[in-house]
Amino acid sequence: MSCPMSICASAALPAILLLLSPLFGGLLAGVDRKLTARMQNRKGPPLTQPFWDIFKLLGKQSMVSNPAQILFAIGYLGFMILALGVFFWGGDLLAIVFLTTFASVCLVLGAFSVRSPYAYIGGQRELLQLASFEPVLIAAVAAIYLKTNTFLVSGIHGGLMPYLIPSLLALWMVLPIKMRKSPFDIATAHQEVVKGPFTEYSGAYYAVILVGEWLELLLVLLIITLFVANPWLKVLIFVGSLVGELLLDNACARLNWKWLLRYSWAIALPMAVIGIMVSSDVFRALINALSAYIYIGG
Amino acid sequence: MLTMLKNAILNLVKPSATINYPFTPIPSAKEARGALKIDGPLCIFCGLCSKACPAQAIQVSRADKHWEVDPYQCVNCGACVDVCPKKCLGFEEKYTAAAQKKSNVEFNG
Amino acid sequence: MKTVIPFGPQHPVLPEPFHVKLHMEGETIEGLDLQVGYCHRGLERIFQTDYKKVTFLIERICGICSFLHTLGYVRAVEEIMELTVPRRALIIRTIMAELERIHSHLLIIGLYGDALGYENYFMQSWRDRELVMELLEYISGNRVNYAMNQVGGVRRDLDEDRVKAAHKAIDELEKRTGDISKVLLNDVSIKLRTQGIAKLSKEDAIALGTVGPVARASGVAYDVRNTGYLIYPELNFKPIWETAGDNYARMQVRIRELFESYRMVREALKLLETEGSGEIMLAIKPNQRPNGQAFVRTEAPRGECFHYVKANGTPDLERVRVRTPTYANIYALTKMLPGADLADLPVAVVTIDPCLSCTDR
Repeated sequence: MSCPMSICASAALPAILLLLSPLFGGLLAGVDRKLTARMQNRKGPPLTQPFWDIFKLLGKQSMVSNPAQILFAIGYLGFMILALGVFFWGGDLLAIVFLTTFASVCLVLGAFSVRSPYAYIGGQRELLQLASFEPVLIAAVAAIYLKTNTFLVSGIHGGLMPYLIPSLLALWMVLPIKMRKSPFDIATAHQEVVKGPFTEYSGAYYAVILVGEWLELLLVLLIITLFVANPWLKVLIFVGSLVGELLLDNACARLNWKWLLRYSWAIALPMAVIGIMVSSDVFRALINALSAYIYIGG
Repeated sequence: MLTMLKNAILNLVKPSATINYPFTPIPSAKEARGALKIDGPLCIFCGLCSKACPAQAIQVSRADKHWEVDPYQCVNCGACVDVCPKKCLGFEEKYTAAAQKKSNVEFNG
Repeated sequence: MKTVIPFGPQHPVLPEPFHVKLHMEGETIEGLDLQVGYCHRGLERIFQTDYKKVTFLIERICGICSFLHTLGYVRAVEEIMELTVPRRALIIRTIMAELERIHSHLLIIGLYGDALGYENYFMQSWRDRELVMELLEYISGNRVNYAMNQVGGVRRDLDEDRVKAAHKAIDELEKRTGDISKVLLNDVSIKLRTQGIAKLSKEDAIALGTVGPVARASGVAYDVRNTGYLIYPELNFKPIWETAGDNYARMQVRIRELFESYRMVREALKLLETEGSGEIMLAIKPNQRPNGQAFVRTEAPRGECFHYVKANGTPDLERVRVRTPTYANIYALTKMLPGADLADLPVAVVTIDPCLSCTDR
């Protein structure tokens, strides 16, 4: 029996975290921009620049070519908030995966709901990115389940590392796709499709989309922190993933959609499947049997 | 790929190549043609500079003893400096700063 | 699914306004219609004025190849007026022309990185370009539109300090371009995106009348600097050419030309030092006026540039006509792109190095 106080406390912390998440997300985007600038030997904008961008966008005229766009923009942000909420409350990982997928689908539908060719091609590319990223994410979640016998975020405690290394590697591999960075920023490749699915948004609705993007970045990095137990290691892996990804972004040209599919389906997905294999009991039993055999045979 | 990776890491510790313009002024080269200036008292209002100007940026009136240049129309070529018989025209090394309102540089003798 | 994508006149990758109507099949380009002329400023009409003023106006055609336009123009006028330009002026003109080629090539090499989504490489290339821009400012007084040429010579001499600064800048540039060329020529991700893509065969390159690096990358070793104007014959200039004809080869030609330019600038600077100071400008009497017509070819950073001048004995010119290299090169896109991906379009456009402010005037 838990007393009402502790229920309050346990409910309050996730709520506060969720409320603060746009702040974290914005700062993360600011760090991203500053670090990118420094890696390119530029001075870069101040850390608070993303917030100024939002304030500026809120003051601009919000043009929509189709009222459905508004729904999809809010849907994108809404599903992202839900997914983050589920994460902070220690909910189901699978639910988080599906909520983020819904969010991305909202983005695609928003892009398809207008007649702009850039948004249209951007939407198609976004779908491709989804098809490249989601299988790997689901496989990684499945591997976590096989290891811990639970999909609940709150049910995951330490000691995940050794058997989940392949899953973590697979997630790292597809991270650029989700973070919309080189080499796989094809959906928002501004040289080709202007801003892809975001092209037709402006003003406040674009601000909504931007906040959704921050939360997406935050959520993906938070999921990666699940792979380690130690709080310090969590911070390290969080920052390390971001910095590593930015370094890759600055050392790589953009590849096209063919390479995206080849890479994610031929390298990252098999790696994720290996991740599932090594974390399953059957596999461990097999290994044990094999080592026993070798031991006996030796 | 590796060359650029090394470059990106090294850049993190290097001082940045960009500056905080306009709060940090840009150093301009020696004898750069920044903005046209006139050493007023020497001017005899002959109007040669006005005739030589390819951009029609300079207006001179001998009757009113008035000399005027539109710095936003001036193309900084220096043709007026070459023809000036009194050598009273010259260039500042600093470039014209951005302004909210356009205004001409004037001189009345 | 067939779609038509309007690409330009305003588009993030295009530094210049022109319109491409893409006929797409999914992500593959099936065909394209090209349209130029969005940037027409009526400059050729403005040039019908005092021939000495035109030198300053004609460099407003384009900020990147501004020296080349004055060079072509003053060569035409000098041919009409039968002037013999002082040797020191010729050397300074060669140095300026090559420095301008360096800054133009570094610019497009950077934009190429931008078109590929390689932001870091783009920034490094443009950072290094600042060196040559600062050098140009030191030599001529302005970063672009140098107002260096005038009929009969050049307006500023290179004193000892400037020669020294130029030597230093060229040394540093050569080192940094070495780094950039390592990335441009060897980077795996760049090679994946550019090798064998948007090919232009030698036959097409000749049939479409392409000039400059576009033609040279397709195996046409055609460079107007070979015709021996300025002091190029003394500098042992050799055209640089490749045979692949793809995006990669076009940039390879440019980066190799950079090193050739560094070498030529160095040798020209040495000539300045050894020959000592001299006259840089011919004195032209006020009653000496151009009468007749002339037609010259100059190698701009983007290729062969034509200048035609017609004068009638008054200070005002009758006609100035320019044909720019981009006008010859841009239609090569219609041969290069069918069959390529949408993602290859920005890269192919950049490898043409379009300069629409020249083309439309």
